[in-house]
Amino acid sequence: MRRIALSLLSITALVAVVSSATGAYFSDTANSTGNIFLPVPWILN
Amino acid sequence: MDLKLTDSDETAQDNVTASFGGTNLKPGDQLPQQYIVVRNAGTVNGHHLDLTVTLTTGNGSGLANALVFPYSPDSQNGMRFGYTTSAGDSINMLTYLRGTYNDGDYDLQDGDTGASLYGALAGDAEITLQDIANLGRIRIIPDSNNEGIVAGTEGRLWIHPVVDTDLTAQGETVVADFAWTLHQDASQY
Repeated sequence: MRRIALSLLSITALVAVVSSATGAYFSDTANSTGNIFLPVPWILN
Repeated sequence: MDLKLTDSDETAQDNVTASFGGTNLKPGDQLPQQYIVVRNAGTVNGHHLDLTVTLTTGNGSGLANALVFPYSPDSQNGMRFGYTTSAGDSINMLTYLRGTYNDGDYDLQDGDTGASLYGALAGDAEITLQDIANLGRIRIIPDSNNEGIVAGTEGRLWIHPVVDTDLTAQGETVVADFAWTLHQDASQY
């Protein structure tokens, strides 16, 4: 009986892990930095 | 999913620099057409891209408000995203934001609320770099095109700004960051 209870507990834990995994989606980020717009020197004084 | 960027002088990587910009700018100048390639280099399809433009220097400046993305019959690449600059392969972001024409290639939404950005800048005679930064996170969703989002494909963002002849502010510099995030699911905001 105890073994069955442990097995059920394991299955429940597995279902919980799978359920949480299906709700976790992937993302990935990339950046373009240092895009500089600079006026002519006479505008800079 | 594995998002990589490329520009005119750098190979695919997580971070590229100086993709856009120009020096010795003066009122009336037209910058060369410039682009960033956005590639989903992974094997898992994305659902959408988020683009956030942040002005790390010069936010709210006269220069940021004078970098205009023009729309006219002979200059339709003021700001486009897609596979080629052809109208059938990419979204004209300017007409979409003005609410004057949706060519059905991609849709744009507010990245925080999911609200459509169609017509978000209606009545804005000149869409500027400052306007794009003010929109915050822009969500790009496939419509008839999906390049840059589906695994193994790439899209491009083209910009082709001019310096407004009304620019009078002096001593200003604008530095802009373009941050891209590829998300797998519609639920990700």
